[in-house]
Parts: sequence; structure tokens; C-alpha cells
Amino acid sequence: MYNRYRLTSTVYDREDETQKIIPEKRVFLSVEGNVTEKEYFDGLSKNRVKIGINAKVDVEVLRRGKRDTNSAPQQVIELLEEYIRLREKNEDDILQEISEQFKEQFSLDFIKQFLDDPDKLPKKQRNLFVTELKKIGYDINYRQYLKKYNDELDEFAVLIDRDMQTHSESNMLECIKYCKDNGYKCYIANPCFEFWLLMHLADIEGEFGDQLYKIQENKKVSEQHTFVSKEVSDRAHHGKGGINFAKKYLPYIDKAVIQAKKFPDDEYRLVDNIGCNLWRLIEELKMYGK
Amino acid sequence: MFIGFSVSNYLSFKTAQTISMVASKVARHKEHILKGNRKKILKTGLIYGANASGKSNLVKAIDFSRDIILYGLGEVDLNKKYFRICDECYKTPGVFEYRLITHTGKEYSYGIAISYAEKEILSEWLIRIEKNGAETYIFNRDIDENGINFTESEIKIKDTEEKVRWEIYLGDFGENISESMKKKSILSDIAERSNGRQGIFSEILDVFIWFQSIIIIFPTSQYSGLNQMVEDEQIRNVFSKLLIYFDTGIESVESKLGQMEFDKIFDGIPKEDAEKLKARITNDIGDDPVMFKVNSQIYSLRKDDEGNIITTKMMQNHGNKQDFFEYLDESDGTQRLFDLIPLFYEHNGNSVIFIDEIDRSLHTNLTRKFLELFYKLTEEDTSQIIATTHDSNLLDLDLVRQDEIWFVKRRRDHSSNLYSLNRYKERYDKKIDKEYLLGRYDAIPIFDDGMLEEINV
Repeated sequence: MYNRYRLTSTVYDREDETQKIIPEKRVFLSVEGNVTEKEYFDGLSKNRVKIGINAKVDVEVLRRGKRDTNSAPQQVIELLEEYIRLREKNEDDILQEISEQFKEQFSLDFIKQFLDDPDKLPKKQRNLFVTELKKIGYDINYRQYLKKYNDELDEFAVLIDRDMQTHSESNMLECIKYCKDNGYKCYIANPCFEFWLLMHLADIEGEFGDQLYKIQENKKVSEQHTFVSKEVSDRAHHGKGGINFAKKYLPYIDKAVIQAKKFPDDEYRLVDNIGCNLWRLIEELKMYGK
Repeated sequence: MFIGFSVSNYLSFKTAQTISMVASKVARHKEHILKGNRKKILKTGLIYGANASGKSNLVKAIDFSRDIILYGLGEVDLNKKYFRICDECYKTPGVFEYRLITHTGKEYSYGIAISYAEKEILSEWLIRIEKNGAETYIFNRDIDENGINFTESEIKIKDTEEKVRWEIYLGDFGENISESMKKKSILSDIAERSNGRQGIFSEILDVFIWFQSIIIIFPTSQYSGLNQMVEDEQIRNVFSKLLIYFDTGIESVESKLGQMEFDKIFDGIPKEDAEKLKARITNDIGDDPVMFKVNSQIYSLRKDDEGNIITTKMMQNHGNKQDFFEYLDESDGTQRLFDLIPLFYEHNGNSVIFIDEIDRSLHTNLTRKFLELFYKLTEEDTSQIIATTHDSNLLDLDLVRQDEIWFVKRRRDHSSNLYSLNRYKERYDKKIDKEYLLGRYDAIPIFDDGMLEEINV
């Protein structure tokens, strides 16, 4: 006997181990610098499988406007939260954000069709729409990109330099607490991100064992460089082509992790002590899927 | 015991979505596992979803289909219950399938398919599932390609009288089915007509009773179990202790004698109607108390020796014995507990309880404590809770197993997708959201675990 509406007898069986999947996960990272950090993490992301990181997990450095060089720690958090707000919006919110004039220009039906299934629209019109949207400050591709990811799993993090010249101690402490309260991971580089880079390039203990105070002070040594950035530059020769992640950094990530572990990793302790707890992020990424 | 449920084409459910209480091989929380028909069945299903994801619709689907199964299609509102985003869905059947174990320990697959357009039950099946997985169709009902209704069965009945009756009952759903039978389930028809005296009829009655015993609690519903409390001191004591345990500020629940203030109760009702109601209530009251609820306040009425009507109402002592609180004076959270707490003493040891928005008006820790208490007090029995929530703090593997956690997500076509955390490899979804619960903020209720020792339910 057979009933055509009934599901199969096994429909209530549960997944066995082989059927289970690893969910995708992104770590969204908000950073101070516009260029170096982004290059480093883009390189990390691109080469993650080589490094032994599961392809299902990725790091994404949040984009910052080109002229936006405002790098106070609060600004880094603000940038992060702006993205979180964007993510939480529904795609349909586009209708609330654009002007009536804009809606008339493309017609409501067109916009709805675009949201529903853009492939059904002619490519030319589609591109025009996206371009026009961008002009009014709405990056639809990025919005849709953000929505692709797993809301439940994604992580949000900031990377802040403990830059004594510009960031006050109370400011740092406030930011750390704010991140903890809101569930954001807080990575700190003391004195700056370049120290993390230097850990790839040099034997910190051997070469700087008696000059750690110089790293901590990180005084300006020239027009372009501070003490640490000069040390990095001397070794890595960053040119116009970028930091050359694949050659200069990729092979030495483990070395950096081992060296960084010798310094404090607690956020609060990193306010007064040199070090960088980014190794935690690297290890977390490597652990994912294992 | 509840093993699983599937639904298609009902509200936000388009294609078949399934929830299963079958345990996976996860090793945690072994105490959440029940045994039935050689299967391991879970005690909890926690359904998590954002607003408008469709999680409430799952509980609605259970409620809706149960009403059809027990009372027939004529007793439910079919209007716009299909998946409305698709144009053809009005003409597509809505299918509701259950897997269950009755109190006798037998496992069944039972389901109905209904037509929203024709307003009739198109198909219905009851299949017994043996320990080895073998299946026997007790009955199968459908409509053939010529539009003719038919029923069939794999049951062999030896007793001649029983056999004749069986054939008559099923025959009523066959070729010459009446309009009223088209709206009725075979299950309810046979359960009502046969009195379940023997053989196959008692099996059918057991399944019918299983559906009758399901408890469904919506955010707006008030659980009727409260009624006993007005009269029963022992229950009142348990209730009081649980309210103290949940840190509601209530010291005790009292019942208060008073005069019957008909005028106040019937305020706003036309005078003539009020008089009629008054007369009817007066006549109905005998030696046994009559319970009723007005504006959520529960009253119990009885006559004293002289024939005067005495009312008793439930009131709460918040520390001032001169000024008790009525139900409506309580906070939303406390009111919600009034709906939920009776589950602890009302459950008869094998209840299946569905709660929509278990966290409604309740603080995270309170909801959590409620579940923990449920596990503790039902340790020895087969009670199950299936609840929806949007409190992600409950998705904690210290509280529930990963195969007990379900997500409802709205898909691009606006239909709801139901899936379990169990589909992911272990570890990756462990919610580390405990800092809040660990008391980072002061606004968390404090629980006195010593209270539990005193509660004997």
C-alpha cells in the first residue's frame, strides 16, 4: 500500500556524521590603516588554504573610504558598527533609502525585479542601475555580498594600534571594554601593526632583545618612518607594488605566531606592554573545521 | 511521545519542512533521551528564528492540523492558510504528517492532506510501525484519478462482528462519501463511533487520544490549568514556591473569599444579558465549584449552606498582607509564568507540550531556569517540550543538545526553511554568549536553588 502525500519512512532520521557540513564563517575585521593591513589580510585570505586554513572560513577587512584616514580607535569601532547595521538591513530597505525620483527613473517594477532575480534583466540596464545607485552612495553589490554570509556564525573584530603618540590610555581601555561588552574581538598591536609584520621578518629576541624599549617608544626616525616601520622597511622593502605578502610574509606566519606568543596577549596588558595578539586570530582560523 | 512532524503548503511553509525529535549520536545530555519502539527520542526541540522567519507558523501548523484531525475541517478557518506567495498554492494540497508513539508504546505514522479550494480532506493515513521498521497500513484514504474516494487497509480482522463494523466505518469514506464525511478524519470518526472497545478500534482510539492530549500554548493563550489552583491548597503551595523560585517578588498565592460582585464583573455588558447570565450562573452552581475567568482573573463560585453564592479568587501576596495583587497587577513576565508553571504539575507524565515564544516577556535566565526545571521535574517521565524562541542565549549546548536546536530561516522566495543545528559538524556552532548570563549586568534575576528541594510535584 502507498500514500502519495506521505514523505519517506526515513524522513525523521537524523544526519549521520558523513552528511554533516561545516558552515561558512567570516571574520569581519575593522582596521586603522588604509593600506598595509588590508594588503596583509587580503593576502592571508587568498592564501588561506595554503596556510592550512579551511576554505570555509575567511577574513574580510572592511573597506574604508580612500580619503578616510581617521584612525582613532573609536573610529575603527564605528566603521565596524556601520557595517553591522548595513548587514542587518533587509535588502528591501533599498526602497526606503533611495529617493522617489530615483524610483521613478528606474520604475518600481524594475527595482523589484532586480532584487528578486537580476539575471532576468538586460545586462546593460542592470549595470546602469548599479552605477547610478553607487553615485547616490548605495553599493548594492556590497550589501548583497554582506547578506550572503552566516549571520549566526560571523565574527566581528577590530585591530587597534596602541599608538602612544595619538591614543590615550583611557581611550584604549574604553575601546577594549566596549568591544567586550558588544561581543567584538579586540586585537591590539603595541606599538603598531608593523611590529606584527616585523615578527615575520626578524628574530625579535636576538636582534632587539636589548632595544625593546625602542620598539615601545617607536619614535619617529624620519619623514616617513617610525622606529618599527623603518625596521620593517629595511627588511621587506615594501615598494609600490605592495607588501608582497606571498614572498615576504606567507612563509613566516608560524614564526610570527611563535614570537608573538612570548609577549602578553591579554588586551588590557597589551595597553602597557609591547606585543600583538593577532596570533589568536591566526590560530582560530586554523582550528576552524578541525 | 512525539517523534516528528512535517508540513507543506501552510502559511509560510511551501515545500515540506520537517522537525524530528529522533536523537542523533551526540553524546551530551543523555538525560534528554527517551526510549520508545527501539528509538531514541529527544525531550526538547528548541526552534530559533528571527522575527517573521515563520517559527510561530510551525506551532500554528500543529494547532491547525490537530483541530482538523479532532474536530474536522468545518471547525477551522481555512481562509488564506495556504502559502500565499505562490499563485498555484491555493489549489495545492496542504499536507500534515505526524510520527508518534501512543501511551501503549506503539509507533505510528499518521497524516492528512487537505484541499483549501474544495475544503475537504483529500487523503488520510494511519500506519503502524513495528520495532523492526515494518509498516502496516491500518487505513489509507485517497481520491483516485477519476475523482472517486476510496479507502483501503492491510489489517486482518478475525472477529466477524469487528470485521463488519470496520468495513462499514471505512466504507463511509469510500465511493459514496457524504459531504460532511469529506470534512472529517477517519481517526476521529472511528474513535467516536467505536468507543475503542476492542482490537483495532482501541489502537485508533489511542492515536486519537494522543492528539487530544497535546498541549499547545500561544503567547496569547492562558493556560486553563490555573483553575484548580483557586480551590486546591496543595497546588497553590507548589505554585507559590515556584513563583518564589522564579524570583517574581510574590511570597504566596492565596485564595480570597468574597462576595459575588456581579455588577462589577458584568460591567459593560447590556443589562438584560447580564441578568440572564446571572440567572444561568446561579442555577448552574451546585455543591461543586464552578470556575470562570473574567479579564484573566480566575474566580471560583460555590453556594454556601444558606444558598448564598461565595466567590473565591486567586490573589498574590507581594509582602503586604493587607494589599494583595490581582493577576492583571502582575508584570508581563509573571503573567507568562502563570501560563507556564501549571505545566509542572498538570503534566500527566507523558505530555507533549508545544509553546510558541517560550521567552515572551521572560528574561533569558528565567526561560533557561524554566527549561532546567522542566528537565529536573520530568526526569522520570516522557514529557516533551517543543518551543519557539528568539532568545539566542538559549542556544547553549550546556542547556540543550545540538540535535534539539532548530532554525527557521526565511528563504528568498519568502518561504520558511526549517533545519537543525545537527546538520553542522559538531563544535562549530557553540554559542559563546555566556558573558551576559554570567552576570556582567546586574539586571538578572537571582534564583535560589534551595527552593527546589522543597518542591515536591
